[in-house]
Amino acid sequence: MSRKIVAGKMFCWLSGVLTIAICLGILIYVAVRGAPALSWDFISQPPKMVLLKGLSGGILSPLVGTAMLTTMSIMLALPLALAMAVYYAEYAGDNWGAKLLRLGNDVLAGVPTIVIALFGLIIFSYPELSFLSIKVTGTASERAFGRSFLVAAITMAVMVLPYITKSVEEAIAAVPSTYREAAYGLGVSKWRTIRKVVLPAAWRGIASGTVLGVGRVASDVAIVWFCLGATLTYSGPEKWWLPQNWLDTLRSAGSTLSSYIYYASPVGSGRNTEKAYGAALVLIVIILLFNAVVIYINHLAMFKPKASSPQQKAAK
Amino acid sequence: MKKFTKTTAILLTVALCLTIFATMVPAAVMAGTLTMSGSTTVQPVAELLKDPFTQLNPGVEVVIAGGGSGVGINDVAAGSVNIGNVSRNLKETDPAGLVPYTLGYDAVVVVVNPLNPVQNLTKDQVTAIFTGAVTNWSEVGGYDAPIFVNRRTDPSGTMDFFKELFVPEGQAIAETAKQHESNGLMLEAVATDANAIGFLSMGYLNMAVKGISIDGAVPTLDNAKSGAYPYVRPLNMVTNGEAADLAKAFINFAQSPEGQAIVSSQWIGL
Amino acid sequence: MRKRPIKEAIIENMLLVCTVVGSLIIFFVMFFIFSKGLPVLQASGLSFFTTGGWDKTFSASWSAAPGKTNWQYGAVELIAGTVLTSVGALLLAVLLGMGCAVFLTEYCPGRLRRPVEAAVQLLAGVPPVIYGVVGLTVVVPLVKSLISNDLAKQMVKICILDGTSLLAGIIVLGVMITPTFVILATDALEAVPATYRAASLALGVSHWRTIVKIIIPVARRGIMAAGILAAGVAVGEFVAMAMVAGGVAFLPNPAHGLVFFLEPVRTLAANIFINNQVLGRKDMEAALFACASVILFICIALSLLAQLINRINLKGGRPR
Repeated sequence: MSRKIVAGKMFCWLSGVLTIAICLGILIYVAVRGAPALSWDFISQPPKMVLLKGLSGGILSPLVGTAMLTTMSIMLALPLALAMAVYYAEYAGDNWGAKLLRLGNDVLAGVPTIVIALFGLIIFSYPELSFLSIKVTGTASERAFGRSFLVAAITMAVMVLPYITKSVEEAIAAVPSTYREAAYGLGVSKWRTIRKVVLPAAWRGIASGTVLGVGRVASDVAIVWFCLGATLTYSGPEKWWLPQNWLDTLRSAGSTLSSYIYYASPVGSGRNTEKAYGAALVLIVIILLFNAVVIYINHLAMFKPKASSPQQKAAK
Repeated sequence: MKKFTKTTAILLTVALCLTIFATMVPAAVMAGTLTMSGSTTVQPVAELLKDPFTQLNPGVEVVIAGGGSGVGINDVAAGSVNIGNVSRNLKETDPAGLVPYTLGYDAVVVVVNPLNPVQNLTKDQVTAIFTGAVTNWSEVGGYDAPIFVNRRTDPSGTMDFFKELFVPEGQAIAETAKQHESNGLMLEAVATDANAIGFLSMGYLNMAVKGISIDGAVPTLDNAKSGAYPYVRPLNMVTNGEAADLAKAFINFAQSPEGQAIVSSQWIGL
Repeated sequence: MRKRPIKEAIIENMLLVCTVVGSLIIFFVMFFIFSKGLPVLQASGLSFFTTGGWDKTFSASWSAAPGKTNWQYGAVELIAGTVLTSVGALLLAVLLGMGCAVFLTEYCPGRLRRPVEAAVQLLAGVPPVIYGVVGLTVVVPLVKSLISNDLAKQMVKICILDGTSLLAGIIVLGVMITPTFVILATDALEAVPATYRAASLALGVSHWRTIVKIIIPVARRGIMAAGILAAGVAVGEFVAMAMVAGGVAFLPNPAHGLVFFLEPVRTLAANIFINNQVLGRKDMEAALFACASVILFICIALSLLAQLINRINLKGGRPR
């Protein structure tokens, strides 16, 4: 028996250390390969597509593109995902209707992004949806160009919606029912219980679900490649920061860090591996910063007085 | 005197109107968005042409997407772009009504790993290797090792052109051949395997792979320009029907001496 | 019975509307994919799942005369490739990931834990193409070193043995999906109320036995969800698979013994990626959407399986 326990412990330690070693190995590899590319010019210059000499210039527009696309798609997906998760976990019960909807959710969470990318490209090329991208004039059918930040953000949101919903629902379901019962016992209404007890208790799960969602959006290549134009150059107005240009900016084609990495990597046409690793390093640092912010908020939430932390409540 | 001033005034007004009209007319025509998609070989050419073109025509926005020759053909036929970029000749299996405009030429090069001692192949040997008739490098002057054939997927312009040149009617590329989606994937596959053979657009030749001479013709840009290396294909911009408006202006610019100077800096001019 | 406050009713209905809207979007996407793939699935029938020759048929369709369409395809190689790589990768990820998750929640020194978790989360955000490139420079040469020149020569008429293979695919895919699994499995293990553990330990049950008999069973719903999401990622990975698993639609032959693992495969998702340029050719587009529909079926099967397992042993689960 004790031999079995020792073996089990050994296995956990080994696989833990191995996984960590692989993680650190890949991160360090990217950091070492990418560090030489980093410079102020790399961050502050837009990329230039030159074939023979390989890719030149920096990553300014992909950087802005990643920020825009991630913010937009999470802003579109997160509220809906939260509402759906709360409904599934707290209201829906276990009837067949809820089961069917959940099943649909689970299934789409597993559908490859390349398929959703094809869906986006085809749907948003319909002329009726040309207000989301560019209307192609002078052709017989006048279809939409079907590639823009708006199109990509909506497609991305469709892609992460089931993903975030699922992990948030798991987090909410994991809150012990005793918490709810205690709140009901005190005469607190259902919605107030959810808002004040269940959601705060599920904070960690919601946060890590969102972080995973952001990671998926920021690292995805297919949707960016198909729905944002398979290009590196940003095609919108130059003065994108002026409010009257915002709509045009959102309707223009562009790139993100992940599509830049794809294009610059040996696989794409840019063939500047050093810059690909440099951009990958920047992307990892951005996700790192994002993680840090979430952990920090988490930390704050843990130390909020009384209501936020069920553990503290339980201890009283 | 009075009459003179009046005439002058009228003339001046007309002249002024004409000047304004003359400046207005092109401005009114040359505004809007020009969209194109397609071949990743034509894409960088178009990107290079875009900046000088938009400097000449400040009202115009040019949006260039990639995707591949197949995407260019299908998009322009469906009407979701003004110009489809295609790095091959149009074929009878392409949708009807498409009109190609050639901007320049690009060479296609058969490549092997730098560790491979083979320097030169005859055209027949290339055919035999890619159709699977020859499967060992020793049969064509290399080591005693298997030949790993790499190819592009069918819609690729490079693949199409390669078939036109080296695969006779009625024969097909070996079924065991690895299919690659892009020049980059092909390059990576050949660069990492000593037994591999594939083909690339000349722009992709670098230290990681070795270009093979075919029947003694050495694949260099100079040879391709002079005609000593004959395996070149057209870089086409395709429109649905005759090119009009913005598409016509862009193609005219690309074919003008100024545009051709840009094309022949890295590719083969007209 | 007391009348429910009107605010509660409004909120519940608003949530319901959101859920319905979200689900409509989800079902519309699925319906769209399926309806696009249906013509090929109908024309091919069962032979889509039982016959092969994908590359050959696809080439023929591409060079067919205009107006001539072909709706019959066989994708058995692609389906086998998807199942083999995903199952292998999932086994690898669960093996590594369960150990890692238990290590993180139970054994890892407290101070190390946050940084390690952050590193694992970071890895989930590394773009797949980086895994592909690293796989091509690290994993594929390792696999290649297992193949002798003679073996490669002997097999070259059947398939290319150059290291890009089922085995390389499984390794790269396994490493890729492990972070996703670890993050979600760790959350599930952590969600087990501390009182359960305390009660078990107080009864004199050993730490290890508490983990195996109490904590993991209680968390199994979450662990299973983690497995399903990881499997979903595995089924859908395409760039890395196009690079390291071999670019040929080939059906590995178990009769070849261990060489089986060294033979190339192509997954359904990689196939869609590799052939994306045919979009617009109605018949070939439908064939790609038929592949996507098969992926949908696989995901439906996975979800149903999870629900089934969940129902079979309900006792001991955490209350819902």
